[in-house]
Amino acid sequence: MRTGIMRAGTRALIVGLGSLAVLIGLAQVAVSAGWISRFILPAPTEIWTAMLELFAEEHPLQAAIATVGRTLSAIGLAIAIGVPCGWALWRYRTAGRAYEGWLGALFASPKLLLYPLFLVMMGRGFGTLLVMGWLTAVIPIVLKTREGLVSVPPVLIRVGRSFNLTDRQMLWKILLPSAAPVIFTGIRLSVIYTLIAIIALEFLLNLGGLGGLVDNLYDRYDIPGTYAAIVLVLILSIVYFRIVERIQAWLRSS
Amino acid sequence: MAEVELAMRIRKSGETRLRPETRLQIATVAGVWILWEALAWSGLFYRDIVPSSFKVIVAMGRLLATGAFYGHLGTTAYEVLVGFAIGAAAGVLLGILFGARPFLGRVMNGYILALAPAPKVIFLPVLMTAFGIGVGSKIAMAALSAFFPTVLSTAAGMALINPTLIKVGHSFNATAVQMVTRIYLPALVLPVISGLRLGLGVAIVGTLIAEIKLSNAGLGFIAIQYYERFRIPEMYAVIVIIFMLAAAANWLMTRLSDRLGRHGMPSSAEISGAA
Repeated sequence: MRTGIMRAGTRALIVGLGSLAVLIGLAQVAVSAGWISRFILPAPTEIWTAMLELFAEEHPLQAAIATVGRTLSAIGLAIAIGVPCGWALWRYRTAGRAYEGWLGALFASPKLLLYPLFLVMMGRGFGTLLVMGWLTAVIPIVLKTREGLVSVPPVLIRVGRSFNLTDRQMLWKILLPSAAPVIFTGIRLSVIYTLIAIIALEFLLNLGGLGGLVDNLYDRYDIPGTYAAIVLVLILSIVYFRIVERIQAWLRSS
Repeated sequence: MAEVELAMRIRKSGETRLRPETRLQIATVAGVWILWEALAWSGLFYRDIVPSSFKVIVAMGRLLATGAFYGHLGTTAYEVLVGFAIGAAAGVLLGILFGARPFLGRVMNGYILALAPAPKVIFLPVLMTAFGIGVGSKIAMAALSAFFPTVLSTAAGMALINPTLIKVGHSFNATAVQMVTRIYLPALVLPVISGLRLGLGVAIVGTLIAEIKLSNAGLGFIAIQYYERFRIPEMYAVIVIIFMLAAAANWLMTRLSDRLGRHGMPSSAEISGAA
């Protein structure tokens, strides 16, 4: 049964990659024959040449590292501030009930559109990028930390009390370990949304990284280069989310 | 019925004072507002970087009194709605197709899962070369954004349909169209609605981002134009309006899904009647 599923999966993969290859081939024919303008869709061979040029001249790997580095700094900052805030919302219940709905609404709101406000306050630079990334990352972490602490079984807390644990011991030995899976769900959400926000802002504000690279090439009207850079963004996002999935699976199993 | 509810509400408010969290909320709003005004009038910042809320309200009033504003509002609404309709229709149809043809679904699944979490804004250069910097590229952006949540949610809903229902459909020799309207769609109402809610949200963001980046009309366009002319209270006013509209759209979609959820799934007759 298992091998049957695997075989079906492999067959799907082969058909998928095969149809992608056919599609690329068709695009090549359509562009060379002039059915599609080269200025709208460059021939795949042209994109490939542009990709090689990109690697020779534009340092896309450094750009990708910059993008990921900014994303991880925003997430790190969000964990450092968000977990204590989530704890405070759990500890002070009135505050938790007062702000939880607001945070949920902010999470669902189109936060990305707030960036002109930060542009005015902080200028077009790394600060705006970091604050916007942080704002995206912090909300799910605060909400899920509170949710995780609320769901700690009262029995565990009573056990801690009966051992006369101090508040600090209680936090590190009982509350955080028990809430950890839910907190990780929050971190996972923030990991997903923050990369999207950072790349989008790099592109919108031309602030370096892979997003900024796409914008630069488009500004020069280098269409094959733009396509190549977009392919790199897609590869980065696929690899990034694969790694996130792996880490999640590893955390779950351990 | 309404009178009873009203009477109960009056009695409740008479019995209990404001709940502590409500008082905290009021205090927070008041505190933030006072702090904001203090910063605005302190002169610590270059003029209007932190604009007083009064200035923003005046700017909003002026904006709403001009006819041009409604032109931009109309452009944005048109782009969002047309793009959303295209992306959502494609998402629902392909979601059903991938669910009904498992092999095809498995083939496409990898591509959709790979593209779904990628930032869609990055496709803007491609869309602008293909559809121009006007309304066309914004509609395409909204469609592309709305497509992924809809197709994922529909395909996930298809996977949960009771297989017996599908067998019943086949044993009645239902045509493909009948299968879609009589079996699939009625069972898919809730997942599709939740996909549409997410899709509308991202379509709004995608459209406005595209307008802010490069355009000649729409709410995003006027927001960034005010920014460039350093008319900050006006820029705040536009952004506040955008957020209120987005919240209203989200509220409407949530209500729609709550209603359908509470009353259970409408019968297939209702669905085909609505369509």
